Amino acid sequence: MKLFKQVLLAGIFASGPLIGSALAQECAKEPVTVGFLPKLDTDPYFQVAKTGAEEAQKEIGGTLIQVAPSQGTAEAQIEFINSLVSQKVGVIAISGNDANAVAPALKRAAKQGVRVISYDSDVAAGARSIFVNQAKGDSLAEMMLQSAYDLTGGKGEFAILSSTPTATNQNTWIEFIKAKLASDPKFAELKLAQVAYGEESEQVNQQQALALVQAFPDLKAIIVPAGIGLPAAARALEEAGLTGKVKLTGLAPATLISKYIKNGSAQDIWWNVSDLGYLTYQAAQALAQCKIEGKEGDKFTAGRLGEYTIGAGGELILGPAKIVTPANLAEFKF
Amino acid sequence: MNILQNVAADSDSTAPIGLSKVVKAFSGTVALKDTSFDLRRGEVLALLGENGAGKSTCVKLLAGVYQPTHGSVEIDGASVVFASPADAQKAGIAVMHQHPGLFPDLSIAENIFLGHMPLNSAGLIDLEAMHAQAKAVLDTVGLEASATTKLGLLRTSEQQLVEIARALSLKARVLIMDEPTAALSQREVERLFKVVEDLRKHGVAMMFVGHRMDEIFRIADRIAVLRDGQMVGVEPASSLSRERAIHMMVGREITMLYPQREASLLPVALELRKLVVDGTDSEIDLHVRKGEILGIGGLVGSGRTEIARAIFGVDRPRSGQILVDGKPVEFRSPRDAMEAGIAYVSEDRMGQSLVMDFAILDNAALTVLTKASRNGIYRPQRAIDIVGDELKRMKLRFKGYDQPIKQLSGGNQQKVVISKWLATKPSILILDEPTQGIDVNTKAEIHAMIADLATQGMAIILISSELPELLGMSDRIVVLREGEKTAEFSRAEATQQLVLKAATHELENRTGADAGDAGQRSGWSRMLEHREFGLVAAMAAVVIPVALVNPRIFSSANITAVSMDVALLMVAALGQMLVMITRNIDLSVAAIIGLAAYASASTLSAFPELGVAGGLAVACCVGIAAGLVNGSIVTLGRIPAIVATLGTLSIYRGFNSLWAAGDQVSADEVPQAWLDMTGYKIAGIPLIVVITLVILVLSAFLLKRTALGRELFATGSNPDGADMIGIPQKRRVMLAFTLAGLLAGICGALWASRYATVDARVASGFELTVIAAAVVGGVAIRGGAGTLLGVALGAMTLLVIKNGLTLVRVDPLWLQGVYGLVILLAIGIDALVTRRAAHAQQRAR
Amino acid sequence: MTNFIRRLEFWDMLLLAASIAVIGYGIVFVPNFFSAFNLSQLAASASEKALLVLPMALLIIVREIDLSVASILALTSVLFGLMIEASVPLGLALPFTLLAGGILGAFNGYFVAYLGLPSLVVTLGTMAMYRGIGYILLGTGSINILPDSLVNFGIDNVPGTSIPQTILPFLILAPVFAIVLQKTSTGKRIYALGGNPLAALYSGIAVKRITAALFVLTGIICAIAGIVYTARLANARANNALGMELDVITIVLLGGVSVFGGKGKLTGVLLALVLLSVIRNLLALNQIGGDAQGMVIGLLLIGSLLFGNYSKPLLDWFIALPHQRKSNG
Repeated sequence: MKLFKQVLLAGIFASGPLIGSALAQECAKEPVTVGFLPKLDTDPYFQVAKTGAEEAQKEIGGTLIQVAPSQGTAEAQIEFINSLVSQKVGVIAISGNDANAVAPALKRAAKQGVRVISYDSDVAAGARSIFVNQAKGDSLAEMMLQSAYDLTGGKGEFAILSSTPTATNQNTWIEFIKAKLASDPKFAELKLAQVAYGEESEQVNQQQALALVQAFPDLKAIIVPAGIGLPAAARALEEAGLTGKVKLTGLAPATLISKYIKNGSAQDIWWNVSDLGYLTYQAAQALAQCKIEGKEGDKFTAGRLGEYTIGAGGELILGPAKIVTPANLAEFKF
Repeated sequence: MNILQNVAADSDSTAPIGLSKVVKAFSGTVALKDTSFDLRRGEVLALLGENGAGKSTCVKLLAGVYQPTHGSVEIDGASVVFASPADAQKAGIAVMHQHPGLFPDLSIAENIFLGHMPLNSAGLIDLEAMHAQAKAVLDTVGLEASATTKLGLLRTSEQQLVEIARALSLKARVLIMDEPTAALSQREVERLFKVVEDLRKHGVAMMFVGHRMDEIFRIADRIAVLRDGQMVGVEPASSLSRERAIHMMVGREITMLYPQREASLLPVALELRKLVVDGTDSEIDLHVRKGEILGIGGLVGSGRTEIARAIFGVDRPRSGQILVDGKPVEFRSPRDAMEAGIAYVSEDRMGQSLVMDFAILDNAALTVLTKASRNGIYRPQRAIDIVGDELKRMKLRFKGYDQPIKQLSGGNQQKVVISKWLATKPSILILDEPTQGIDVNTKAEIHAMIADLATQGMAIILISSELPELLGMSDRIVVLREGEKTAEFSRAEATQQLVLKAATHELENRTGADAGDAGQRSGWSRMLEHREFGLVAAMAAVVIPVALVNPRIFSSANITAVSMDVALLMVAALGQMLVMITRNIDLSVAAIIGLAAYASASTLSAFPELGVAGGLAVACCVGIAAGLVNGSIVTLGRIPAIVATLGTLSIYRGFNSLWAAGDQVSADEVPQAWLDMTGYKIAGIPLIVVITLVILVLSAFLLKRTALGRELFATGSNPDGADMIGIPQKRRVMLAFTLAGLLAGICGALWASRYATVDARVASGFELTVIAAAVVGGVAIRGGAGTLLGVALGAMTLLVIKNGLTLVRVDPLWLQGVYGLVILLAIGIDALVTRRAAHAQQRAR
Repeated sequence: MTNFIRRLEFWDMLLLAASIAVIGYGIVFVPNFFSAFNLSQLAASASEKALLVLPMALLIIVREIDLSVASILALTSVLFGLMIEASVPLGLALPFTLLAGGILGAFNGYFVAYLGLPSLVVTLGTMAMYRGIGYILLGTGSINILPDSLVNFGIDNVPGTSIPQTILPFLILAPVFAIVLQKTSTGKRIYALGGNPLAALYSGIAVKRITAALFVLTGIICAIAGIVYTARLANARANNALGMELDVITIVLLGGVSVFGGKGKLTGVLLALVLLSVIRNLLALNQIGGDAQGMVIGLLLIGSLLFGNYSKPLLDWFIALPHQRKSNG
């Protein structure tokens, strides 16, 4: 029986080379299928990005599919990378759970002729051609830090409540913030007490926010660069009666944090998420059709968003982020 | 045929109960052949017979545990069918079982009244009435123990008294007593007899099954004698002499010829000096020579098997020596005994000798696996070489070596067992009831083989309850009674009468274990309460040092947050406890929480007019549905709970994921009132805590004050016992799972309210925290034990530790490691406590 | 051929039929399923699970269970990564990792076999404890600078074929386990222990020692799986293999190993492994996510067991029907 099964499997594998071998990356003549692979299936952020991508898809054609893992781990994402490759997509657009761990799988995808771009959360640079970033990393970091500075009067302890420990984008911003704290004399009196992780879960975010406040009695502000974390932290503080005593700032969907922006207890730095999806789709199709390569200086027109130029390291910036105030709150659909 | 509900009141002409031409067969073996007798009002009928004569079958037929293969049980002259013991009980029959199905985790009063508890007008257990009645009946039987004591703490004799009290409490018309005096002291027996007198005056029909002639002749009005499954005769006690009774019990033509043998003069192979085994205080001396067959006679429970097990290294003797070939030995396992050349053919063929799933060859070679292998590879041919001869010698009738052992008859199975042991080429062979349940021809073959082995120089100990066999085969006979050696006969001297008399005759001065051990008992109850104290101490051990470092642990914000978390965990852990006490487990609890949370949140976001009540209702419905599914798969589908809930865990979580399709219900999509449900404070206490306390109080009522609740514990404490008294186990388990589902549903609603953003990943992985809370709180995985207070404290302990660690800025990821350690400590301490209690109990017997 | 079919157990036949049906469905209806890439990735991503089902099957046969397998995998992966980071040569790091796995398994074995505690609860505790230790040692970081030979092992296929190298440990160990279980005296002892622990004890089988040894073996195999995982993902991290234990247990149970002990063969377990992996793969190719895949698996597990319990009575009832109809005339 064992023998039988092993012979069967061996037969399948041996015939492999006949069915498909490593493909070179060719230039497509027409729009291809783009596979979006967000970090997590339950995050509405990626649903909204998808609507932007769908808008782009209607304009320029091609096919769009989106799959996402149920766990925010690299292992789970790798399963889907492989699945997308098997489905013979032209481009994978991935928001990485773990920059390094997904790299081997992405490289394998490239060997199979699939192009790779990342959006929102980067992967190892050697594993992708383009990284579509919502805003320049250090610009976002600086805005968050500045926001914290403004809220606390420039002095005191603050904490950072991030997403998952491996998330590339958050980690990049945290590194920028730490670097800025060390180098810029303006922020000399601001101290980072701890980095905690909300694991993209409402429950954990609330508990961590409270825990930070309890563990550091002199905490003045919390920076929450995670979409679900900022509203969660705000709710937790409100329930504990600490609204306003500990200030909040970070990155979050404007609609979810609107109540706290209106009452001034939180600040938010945000961007047009649907545009991010739109731009990613446009970039993906442009890459597949060899209109751009991901080299610095490459230019292309991304539909209604206008002309874009690729920056250093294959990075494509959507645009500057905005500070959400009660005045411009209505602009943000998400 | 239905059970007669209303039995005719006083008609002296018809017997209240009896057996009519009953035949009872068990897959091939006939236990009772065409037996008829009846009981009379105000009279005691004694049932006499050897082991295996069919007495306990009669008892179980009357008790409704078995149903007759042919013939019927008759009540007041009409045939009835008892589908279960509950039916018999309803028909007014009370039974004192020989091996009582009591519940060690329940109190004495509950054990007495389980199945017929006194209820008050609200439908709850009337504790006062129950304890008062319990005290009354305990006084009657002479047990001086508080009715609230846990049964497991009592000695065997005391537990027997509780069994008696149980039967008496039923106030039945018919009372059947199966060996009620086996474990009792003289004084307790006297009490029982007084009760019997009393019942006689009240016209209760009674049956008494026993072995002690003195007792039988004192108590019985008529005596019925069974032999080999048939009724030999029923005579008035006054006109029956003891000798004639014994003759009726055993007097059969010795149609079997036993091999002729010479006495052995070879050296002593095995000697026991002053050996004291578990469960008795008597010292045993005996010896066997090479080439000799030593028979050990006595009744079941007289200690013969205990001695065999001590010799074979299964149990350790309490004191004394075992000498093999003159040298003292100490065996720590059967392997050691085997290496010393001892082999033991156990009396429990199916439970201890055979692996029923194996083939003949595999069973036969089980003891010589190493010899049957070369370089580790098992070679069936070698095994055949080793055991084939033995099997042939036994004249085994089989189709092939690969034939599954299940297909063989009892006799042939026993042959395989004996071959298995002979293959080890032992020098000392212990045979424990070797021909029990075997046909006559095979018996003769086995006897011939045994004699042959002895002639070849093997020392053989033959334990047998079959007198002809014992007398026919043995060179010498030793008789045991209740752990003591009462007689030793040579082949020439022994007769059936003498042996039986030595096995049953009562000594004048009985030393019973009368003295109460009140001191030890309170020690144990203190130890049991240790769990709760231990948890409080653990919490204090965390809180106090942390408070010194960071006094904000006592801040109102912190206490509020922690109390809300505890409330949430407690509700789920409570549900888990209900399932665990019935000896099951629910791995799907977190998936149900998630599903209920999403269901209520998304329903409210779509239909906000439903309000808080609507949301709660949705969550409860989801929870109940999931619980019902779990319960059905376990009870109707007959799939073990751990597997069933492993499957439903994936199903519920997956269904949740498909339903939500990535959607997240956020805080502004649900009515504010819903979110306030948990956070709203009444007198400074969050509403969620209040809700949880209410649930706890209700559950306390359910578990402690309703018969249903006690039956849940009973189901897990002793499933077989629960069957014997007719508790509908399947329905209770179904109830436990449904309630657990409901509680998980409520927890889901509370979760959705507390943590406003709800998606398909809510409570992922939470099931392990829930189970941990239950385990740390003292709920036993084996079922039957667990307290609400324990579970509450367990949940609290885990979360207080988490809170403490967080406040001293320990990395929250380290928390897992600490939780794991706490679980291991909790069960480790449990094991220690149980072991110590068991040792203490053994010593007290 | 007929002999071969007769020897196949009923359950194995069902699984084989199901596997063939599912694979057939995949080949015909799901484009891209039957490609070298897809199949080789299927095998690669099942590499660790495949290793873990081997000792787990043995444990369940002897009526025990080990929930801590994924945590041992993670912790040994962390230890391995730390050793590499400390410049311990691969030749030393590998055996030490296996030793570590064995020690972790021995801890489980001691509690279960010698202290007599229920394995469900003990491994529940060690599951949490071991992963926690992993976090204490490595925090949330990861070690991803690994020797090339290791990384290549994790990525490459066996030269000339589409067989990923990571499945090799399993392909080598699986027949060993199968032979030990079916053909050696130790295997007989394991089945005896599971089939009737008392009879095994009374027959002189070293019950405690075998149970403890199985837990140690499990630990070692978990360590091998940990090394494979680290190579495959080029990443040593404390949250590796989160939740893998449930899948492993499901595969073993689906494969016909009974929770009551004493029954089950590795052929069934391996067929279940294939079946489960193919189903997950097909679902992923149809854009169905992780948790939803689990739903199908859960239904399969329960459905198969219900079928197993009721197929015979149902079949008998079915066969008796025409006779009933005849007698009712």
